[in-house]
Amino acid sequence: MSQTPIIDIEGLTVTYRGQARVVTAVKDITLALGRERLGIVGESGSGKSTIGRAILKLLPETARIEARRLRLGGTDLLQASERQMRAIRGRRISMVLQDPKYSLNPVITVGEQIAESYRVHTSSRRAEARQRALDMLAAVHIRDPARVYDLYPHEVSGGMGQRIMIAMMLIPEPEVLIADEPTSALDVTVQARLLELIDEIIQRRGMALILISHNLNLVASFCDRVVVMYAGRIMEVCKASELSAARHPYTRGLIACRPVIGQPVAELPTLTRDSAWLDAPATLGAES
Amino acid sequence: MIEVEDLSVAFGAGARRVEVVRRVGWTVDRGEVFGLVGESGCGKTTALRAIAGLIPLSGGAIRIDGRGMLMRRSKADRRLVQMVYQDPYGSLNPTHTVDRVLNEPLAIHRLGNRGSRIEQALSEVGLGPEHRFRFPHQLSGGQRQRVAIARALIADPGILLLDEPTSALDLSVQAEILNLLKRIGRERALTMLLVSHDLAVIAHMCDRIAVMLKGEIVEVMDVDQLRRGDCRHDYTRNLIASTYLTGEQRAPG
Amino acid sequence: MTVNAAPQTWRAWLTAEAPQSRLQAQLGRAYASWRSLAQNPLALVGLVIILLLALLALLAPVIAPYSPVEQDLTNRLQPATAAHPFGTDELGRDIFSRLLYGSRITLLIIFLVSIIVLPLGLAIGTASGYFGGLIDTVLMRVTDIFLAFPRLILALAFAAALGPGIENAVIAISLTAWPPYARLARAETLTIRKSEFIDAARMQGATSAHILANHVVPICLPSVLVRLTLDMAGIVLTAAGLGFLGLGAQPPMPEWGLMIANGRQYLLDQWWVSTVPGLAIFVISLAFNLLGDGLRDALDSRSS
Repeated sequence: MSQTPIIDIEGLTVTYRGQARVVTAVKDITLALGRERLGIVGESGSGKSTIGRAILKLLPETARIEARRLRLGGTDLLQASERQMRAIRGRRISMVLQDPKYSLNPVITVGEQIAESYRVHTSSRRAEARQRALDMLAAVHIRDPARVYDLYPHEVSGGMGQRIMIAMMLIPEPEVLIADEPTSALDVTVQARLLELIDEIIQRRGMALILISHNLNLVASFCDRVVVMYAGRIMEVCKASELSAARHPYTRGLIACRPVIGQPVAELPTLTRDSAWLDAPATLGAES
Repeated sequence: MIEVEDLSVAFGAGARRVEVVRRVGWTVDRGEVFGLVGESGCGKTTALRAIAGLIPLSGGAIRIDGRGMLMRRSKADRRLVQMVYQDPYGSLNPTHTVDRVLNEPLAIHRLGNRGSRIEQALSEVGLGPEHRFRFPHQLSGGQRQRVAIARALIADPGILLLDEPTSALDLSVQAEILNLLKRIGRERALTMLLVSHDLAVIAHMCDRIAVMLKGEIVEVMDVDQLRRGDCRHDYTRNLIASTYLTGEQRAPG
Repeated sequence: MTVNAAPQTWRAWLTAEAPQSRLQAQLGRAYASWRSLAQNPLALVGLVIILLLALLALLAPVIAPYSPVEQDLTNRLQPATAAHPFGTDELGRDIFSRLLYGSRITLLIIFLVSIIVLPLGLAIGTASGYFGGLIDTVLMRVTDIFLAFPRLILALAFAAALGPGIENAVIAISLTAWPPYARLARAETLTIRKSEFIDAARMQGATSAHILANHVVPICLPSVLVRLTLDMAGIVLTAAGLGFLGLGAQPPMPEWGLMIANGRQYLLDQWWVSTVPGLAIFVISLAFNLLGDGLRDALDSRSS
């Protein structure tokens, strides 16, 4: 990661204006994404999803984004207008969300939705877009693309729905894919195959991936680097392969509190949260 | 304690009839923790709800303490079997305080000493008197699940049914709730039936396990067999492998 | 939760994170709803008007300068003067006094209709939604039948059949007003009947009646109450309409609709006889609508 980062974040703070008070979702985050697979892990309320949405400026009206720097390549995202952001979303950065059911239009066939997402960004002809969509369905390992093309979202299973989402997000060939809990709604046997698929496409196209998940071990097995978040702050950044040697007590606690099939314990270790974590600077791993 | 024999559950009628659970059977001994594992739509939750008396069976029999159970049950039979649900947000009435939630079973079963029973139930699940008069929206997910557990236990059941009790919770909270359930199960000598999609949770909690697939039981094994990976059915093997791969588990070594 | 650095003790008590008693918890909740209502100035205006009207109605015998029914034929159709702030009607009665006493009748009708329509609509709607099946089909078809008639016409028919009079007007209005509440309560019930907290209550051995009374009705109540407040204007108008057509309150009662009807023939020359009670109806209808809108927002935001 010696080259200039694709996404460069410095001092990102996101606050929400509530009825009585201002809630800080993300506080002073500094992060650089190269051509790599970066995992962001944290529990609910850690701000992990907020980062992904802040990069795309897809936050609700009540949110306020502040940063010293928020850049995508040569583009300053902080200054970008809504119109410029629309050109960036999908075309340069794509996002896959947890549940495909809510992301697909229920009254349009999945194939047309994929073709449409290509046409929006490339202004190509209908027939060409259709062919590209069929190729893309094949690329996400859907066995019979021509048949699946004409299905409606309610006619496909959760796993296939998520494949279709990935096809739709990757067809404009973005530089970065942000996957926010892409497999959490799926069964474990389907999860593994889907992650392998994402991995394969990322590698082949030389894209960067941000994988956001609550599941530390899942992130560790599919990413190069892991960012551990707690209460809107980065607790630790380390190489995925060195996660078992993590130093921060929060990371260690997260690893320890999960039951493991082969290692029976009478009682699971529980996490004791320390308010000092909120002030201490992030423990940086060997790298970064 | 619980005998399930050829249990079938079907929804719909006529041509649209779907048999979600097909002739499944197992027995759970007194004080045993039995796990039912499978992926979404395999019928594990449906089977649990039939045992709970929330939906009718279409075939077979459920016996508790040797007595046959249908959907319609006496108050005493109801009191014997209690359940903890998956969604800590949906399982508590948003307009009831914790106090009212815990008071309801006591009122239904006409038990006395309600104030002290409520305080005792709260402390048993690790909550304090300061939580007693709060509304669910003033509690965290883990705290709500503790209230749901307290509600299930307050009228002294013999059997506790657990429907994915931690799948909506954060990992660190999951550990706390699993520890709590394990401790209470031991202290009260409860017979527990745990339904989960997470093999690691099942392995941690249960003595014996049944693996369900498409409404049927493919394999029943004890926890040592599961830990050794000693299974006969391909589906079980696949499930264990995926659990390791997706990092629900780290592969050993 | 500390809103101010030094909150007054009663407010701290109401917004306490850890209430000490059932009462404190309930009051705290009511206070939160009140605060969100109080943020809506229009709703407060509506509430103030309604409370003011209730106060005037209560104190009518003290405030009213004249009797509402005593005639003074030498003083017929007088325009507003210091002695008669809203003038006098065709029989020389003080319109201001009649208006005050008339508000008692209007509020009585509102009260009676509410206590008939709310329980009826809630009972039919929640039972229909909770039990489903045959009970639902039968109850909802009956509801449909009542909904199929235009409200005022059906009320007219009932009032004509039962005979004129306030009690019969109330019955007629109630009989025609309940179906939308049953529908609303049923829809709300359907959204919660599969909830796990209902399952939990069933597993505790709770009877259906217990579940309906303790779980279903309290959750349906706010939206039905909001709807009723918003409909109140319609009820006031229907009552006035029945009075106007001679099927509601009977002379010499100072009912507002009846007052408008009586002033009809003098509308061109002595406009105040009809206009003043008309304005009164307008003001109270508006007040209920404003309050209803505010209540809807307040009760909605609480659920999130």
